[in-house]
Amino acid sequence: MAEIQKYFEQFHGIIKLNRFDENAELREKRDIVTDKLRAGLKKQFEDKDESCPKFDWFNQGSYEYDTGIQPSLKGDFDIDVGIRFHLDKNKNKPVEVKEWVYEALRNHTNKVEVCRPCVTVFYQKNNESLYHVDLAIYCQIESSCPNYLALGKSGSKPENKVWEDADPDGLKNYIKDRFSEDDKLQFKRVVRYIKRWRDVNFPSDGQAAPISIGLTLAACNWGIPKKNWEGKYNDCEALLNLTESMISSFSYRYSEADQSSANRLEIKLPVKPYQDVFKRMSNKQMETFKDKLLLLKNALQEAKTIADPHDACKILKKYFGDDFPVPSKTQAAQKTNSPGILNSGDSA
Amino acid sequence: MLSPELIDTTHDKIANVIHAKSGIRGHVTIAGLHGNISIYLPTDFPASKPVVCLDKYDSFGFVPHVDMKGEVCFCHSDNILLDRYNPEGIVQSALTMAMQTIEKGIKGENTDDFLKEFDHYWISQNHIRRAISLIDINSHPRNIYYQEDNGLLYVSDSNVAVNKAIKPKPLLSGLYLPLNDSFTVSPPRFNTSWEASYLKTLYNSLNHNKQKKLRKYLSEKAGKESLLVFSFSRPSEGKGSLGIYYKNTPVVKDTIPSCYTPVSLEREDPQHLLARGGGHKSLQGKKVALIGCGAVGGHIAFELLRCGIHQLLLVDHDKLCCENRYRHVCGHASDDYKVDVIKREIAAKYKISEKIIVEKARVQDALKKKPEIITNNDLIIVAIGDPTTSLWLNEKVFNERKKWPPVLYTWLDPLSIGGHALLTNNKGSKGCFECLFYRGTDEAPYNRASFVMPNQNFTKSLAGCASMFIPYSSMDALRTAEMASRLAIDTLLGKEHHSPLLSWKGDSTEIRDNGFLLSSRYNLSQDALFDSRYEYRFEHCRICSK
Repeated sequence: MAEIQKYFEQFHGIIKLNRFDENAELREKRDIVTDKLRAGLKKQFEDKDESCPKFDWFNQGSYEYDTGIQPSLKGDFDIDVGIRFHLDKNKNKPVEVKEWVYEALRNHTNKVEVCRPCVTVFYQKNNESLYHVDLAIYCQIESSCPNYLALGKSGSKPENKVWEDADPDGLKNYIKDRFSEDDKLQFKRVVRYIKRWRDVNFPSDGQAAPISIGLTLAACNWGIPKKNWEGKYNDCEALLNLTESMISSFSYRYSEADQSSANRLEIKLPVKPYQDVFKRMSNKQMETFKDKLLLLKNALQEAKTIADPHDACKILKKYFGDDFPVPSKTQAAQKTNSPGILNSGDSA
Repeated sequence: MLSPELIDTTHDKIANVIHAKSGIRGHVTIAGLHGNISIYLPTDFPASKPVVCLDKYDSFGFVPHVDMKGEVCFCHSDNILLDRYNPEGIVQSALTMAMQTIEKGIKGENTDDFLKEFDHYWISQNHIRRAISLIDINSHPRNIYYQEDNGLLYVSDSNVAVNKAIKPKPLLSGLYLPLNDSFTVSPPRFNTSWEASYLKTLYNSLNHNKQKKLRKYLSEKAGKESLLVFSFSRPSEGKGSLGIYYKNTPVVKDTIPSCYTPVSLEREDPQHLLARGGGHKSLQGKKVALIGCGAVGGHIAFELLRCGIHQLLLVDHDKLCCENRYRHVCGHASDDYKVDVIKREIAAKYKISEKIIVEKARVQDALKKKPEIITNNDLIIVAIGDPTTSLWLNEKVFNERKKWPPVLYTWLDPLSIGGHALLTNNKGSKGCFECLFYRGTDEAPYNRASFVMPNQNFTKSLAGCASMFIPYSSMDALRTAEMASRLAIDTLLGKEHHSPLLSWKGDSTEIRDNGFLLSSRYNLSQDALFDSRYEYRFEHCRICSK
């Protein structure tokens, strides 16, 4: 097996989105957005002469789980924020609440959109998206009561405008507690690798690419920590193990989106509403997903059997993109710099 | 028990012998036979079991498990727990068990037990002689040898003096005859010898060939002294043996002369003693070369020996010095070569020194001089703790791997942090000592099996360069030797089919307290270390993957 862990870790260093570096700007934007929201709502309700609904906010998504990656060429940075209104779902309609948020923020940047699961605030430069803040809108009467997520937008069919059961805290705890200490670091690395693989190998628009939470949960389900015989983490093996598990978990299932059955990978949320996170992918997209996983699996298998790290990393680069480092050809002569007499603790 | 009465322990013979503090005697009926039975309570009762006795050993007929003075052996003290809070229960159980034992004897249900206890009856004969036996109790009739010293006989398969200390005494020939397995030998009753009629039966049970050998031997020895050793089968207990000695062998026809002196054989043959120590008979023909006879190697030599490997080549150029005293299995008495000291100790303790070869040389020189004395073994164990020489040897082995037997490397980590054993060249499997050091990276080589981070200096010096050493204790060496020896045995018995790397890990306090760093391998659990024992193999190793 080629000694390629070093290059996986270098790759990770390149793609990792650090919570306190690159994200500082996002954090700042998040804080501005929540302040704007608070001020905007206050004004809206004062104008209507009604009492302003209270809310709290929390981080969610890869920012919260610390599994964020640098966007590849195709994408932009994002940060997911949960906005939780303290109100009764029976007295307020989900789209109406999302409209409050939209109204409060719509003049904040050039582009604010209400999407099915959230409200998105885009930050642009020369009409190009730099980053965006996704606001998922929840309601909860009071703490310790269930959370509900506002789905739908104006124009959606009535059955899609609903308060859906949700448990953002439960999900956060599940992911954060799944592994501990150094195993957790490998878990995060593996999630980042597979997310970058997804970014490189799938179109960024539409439903073709498997969503991040799906890949994160897959790593929670099957990402058994892998170490080599020296006790050192072996990310290639861990990623291979995850890929193989995902492939073998494809089974013949019914797709509501396609109204027909096909070979699909189902990954259910471990909390309410316990639904399949990949349910919006079509059967055709699932087929592509599996094909690409098979190619990834073969590449990982091949990489681990190749002697020279240069050749192994060249193969991996095809699947993980240009950020994957490729060392120069190993040459025996390279050792001339290392000492020829070394200490040894062995005795008999 | 009917008509029980207290025993007057001050005037009772048995009570005095066993120091009984009290006892009770009564009448019992067992399987229709009537007799008295006595139960004595020893002074430390209930910490010791009661003694149950019959008036005479044959009060209920000649039955097994009753000794000459009538004591019934109803259970073995090693295998029981006495409930000291229930002394009445102990007495009741003792009586019940003793009566059951006698009942089985009366009904003939435990006749085989006579054979288990044959020696017990045999030694009760008058004028019994003692002998130390080194002969292999097997199924081959053959001539054997014996020597006498101070009334004690030494019996051996070898015509080399059995006990070198008694050279002046002549070495005489005896005859070993295994009785047929189908023949059940009956022990003589206490204090009596076999009668002529029984000896005739014994003779008749022998097949024609054995009878012929016996006749020939006895006629050769007519008028002179002679020794016959018979072996017999014991159900589930292996073979038993007995000796018959004639001071003046009489001339008789078609029987075994009855004027014999019984000989009790104390078996000291390795087959018998090894079986008692859990050794393997099949290892006796195996040959092992042990390169490095220091703290680890020294222990390995003795462990292999105790497992039944009696053909050893010991290679070491070092002498024992006083600094070895508390680390070496032999301690230190004089500044002799380690190999000589080990050989001497083997000779003194195990009486098998003739197959121990020593080579006072470095392995490099020994190999140059006579490579075949090293390669011509079933296993080579390298316990030199020197990675440079071990890597050199490893390359040599894999250059001509078919010529070499499996090679097992074993070494210690410093400061009680662990020990390792790596088997290589076993049954064509890959994985070698080089795989631990060179893995196709641009890193400087280091032993990746180690539990400490590379390139730390652990050597200590008590008095300058000449006395540099790496700190570890004798117990670390022993633990490593034990692990390596088990792997060696598994290899020789064909139980290990691949080339594992085995490691034990110890407490890390000393390492940490001294500011040294542990390797990531140390953090693997003992189970994970074992589960990954074959994974160290480097597929592109330039030595074993050529």
